[in-house]
Amino acid sequence: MGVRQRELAFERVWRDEMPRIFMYAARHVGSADAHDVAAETFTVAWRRWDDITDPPFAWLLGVARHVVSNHVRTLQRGRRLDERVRLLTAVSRSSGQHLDFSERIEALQRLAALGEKEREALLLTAWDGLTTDEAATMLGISPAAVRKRISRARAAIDVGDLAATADPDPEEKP
Amino acid sequence: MRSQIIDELRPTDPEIDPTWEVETMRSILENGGRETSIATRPVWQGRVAGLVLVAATIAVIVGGLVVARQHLPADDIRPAKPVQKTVQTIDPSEATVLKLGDTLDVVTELPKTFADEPVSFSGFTDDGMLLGVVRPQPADPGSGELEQAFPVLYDLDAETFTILDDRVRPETTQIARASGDASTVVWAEVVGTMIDHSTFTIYAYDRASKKVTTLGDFDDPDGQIVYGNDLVMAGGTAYFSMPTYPGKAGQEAVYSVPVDGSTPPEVLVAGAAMVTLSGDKLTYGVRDPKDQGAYPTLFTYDVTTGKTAREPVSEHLDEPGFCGAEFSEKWETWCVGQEYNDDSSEPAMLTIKETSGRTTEFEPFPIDSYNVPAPHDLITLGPWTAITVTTDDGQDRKFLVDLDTKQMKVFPDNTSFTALSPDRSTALISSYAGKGPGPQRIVRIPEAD
Repeated sequence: MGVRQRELAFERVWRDEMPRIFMYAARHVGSADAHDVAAETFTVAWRRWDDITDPPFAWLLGVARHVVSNHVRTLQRGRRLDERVRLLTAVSRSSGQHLDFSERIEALQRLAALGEKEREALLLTAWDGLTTDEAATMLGISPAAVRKRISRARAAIDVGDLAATADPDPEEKP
Repeated sequence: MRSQIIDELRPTDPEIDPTWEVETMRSILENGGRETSIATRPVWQGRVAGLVLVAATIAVIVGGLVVARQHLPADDIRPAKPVQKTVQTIDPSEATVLKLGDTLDVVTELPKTFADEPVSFSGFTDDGMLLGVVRPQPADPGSGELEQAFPVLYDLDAETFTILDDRVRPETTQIARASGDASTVVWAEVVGTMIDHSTFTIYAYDRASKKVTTLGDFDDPDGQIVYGNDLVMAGGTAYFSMPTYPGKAGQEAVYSVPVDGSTPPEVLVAGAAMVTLSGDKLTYGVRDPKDQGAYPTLFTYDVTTGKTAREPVSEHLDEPGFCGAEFSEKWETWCVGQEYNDDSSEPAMLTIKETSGRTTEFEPFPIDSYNVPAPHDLITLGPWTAITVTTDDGQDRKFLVDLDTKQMKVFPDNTSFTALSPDRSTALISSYAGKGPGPQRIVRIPEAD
């Protein structure tokens, strides 16, 4: 592939996938730092263009996950529950417009109150659009374990009793 | 509640500044992502009103957290002056910007890598070594897999690294916090991408025997009791906290554990979290279990005497736009600016009132951080009163002001004041490139003109 063709391909991937990568980053580190995460993710993508998969989104999300982890460490910011609610509220502010305000807030609070494993599995599939297999690859666990986490997350949101629905998962091994 | 609501809340495409998009993409393509200067990010247009870090939370938490991060000793108190019932005004926009290698003396340029892997430093031990973390990069960055990070000590004089613990862990972990003195280094390792994960371990490294001891291993199966992103050490004891999510509200606690691992961690204060340390004073916050949204009440615990005291509350707390306050024995500060849930971006006005009677009012600081919208973390550095301002991208930029002469200086743009050296003459500062962490340096605290 020629240089210009590679550039055009990169521009297409940027145009198609950058918003979703940005959104993934925004819900983890906030919209301000999401700019850095998106830029760094696509910088890696350009450097490793020959390694990128087709379709590229899962691969980019993998890079973004790594970049996010570095940003969290670098910034040394705690992510308390109220901060997580704020991040989730920010990224979803334009969606679900038909929902009642209080219903929306309660759903986001319940989502924020999930353990990270359950929340990440649920959002990788429900928001980021990964398949169960893709999410399993990214998280380094089996697809069955991903499904179990999603099931637990939905159950916790359904009943709102987080502690009662969670149980140790023997399948959750890489 | 039906969980399908979460699907209906799937985010729509964000509003991203097209100029940032074009310039960033062009920069990546033109420079191959190497020496890029990624376009300056825009201020997020669609910011929702914050639900966190306001008023008393900033007043008591942020300052404390930052102090702890910088490992400051207890003498961060400006000496008292004779009584002067005066009011003076200082304009931060007139601060002289310090220039690296010119008006800001660079003592040491720190290495960016160890064994070809990125390394970053977070603080000093009390004998002047640097605490650092090596974060190996994955061979396939798109796999999403995280490589095992490991803690290191860096000897500034010998320019050598000491690996503290490079064992293969059962599950890949990352280093969240580290603290150390001349004999021991303690650190926390978490599993996952976020700090507040329920699976974490506290380790100690004995610098004489080079032995690593596991001080505590935690994994709440419900994911509701999490690591509090805090770890401090004093007098041979490490302190940390575990806050909780609503599923286990009220079970949070501050823990202590001897760094020799002779006994397991035990609850020091039940119902508390957010540990910071300044000198011998351990500070923690206690939330009302019946009102988790309320601001926590802060207490201090003297690690040498065991005495506990309640921290003062600013009398300005109920003023409109109150955005923070800090206290020492010799002064109190408060700021007034953007109100909670107010998106009007009112400037934050800082006031320092010394017990001597002198009051200093500052014109607005260049605040653009939504998370920390107030000047904070006041300390004394020689002739200076140092004030931290957090930028929109999370950097803690330091202003230095001489309250006697009104002279003011500010650290270079794009730098973060990461830690102060034990003798308080130098500081670890971190620079940021648009695409991630940049160089770190040891710089000398400037003298007043």
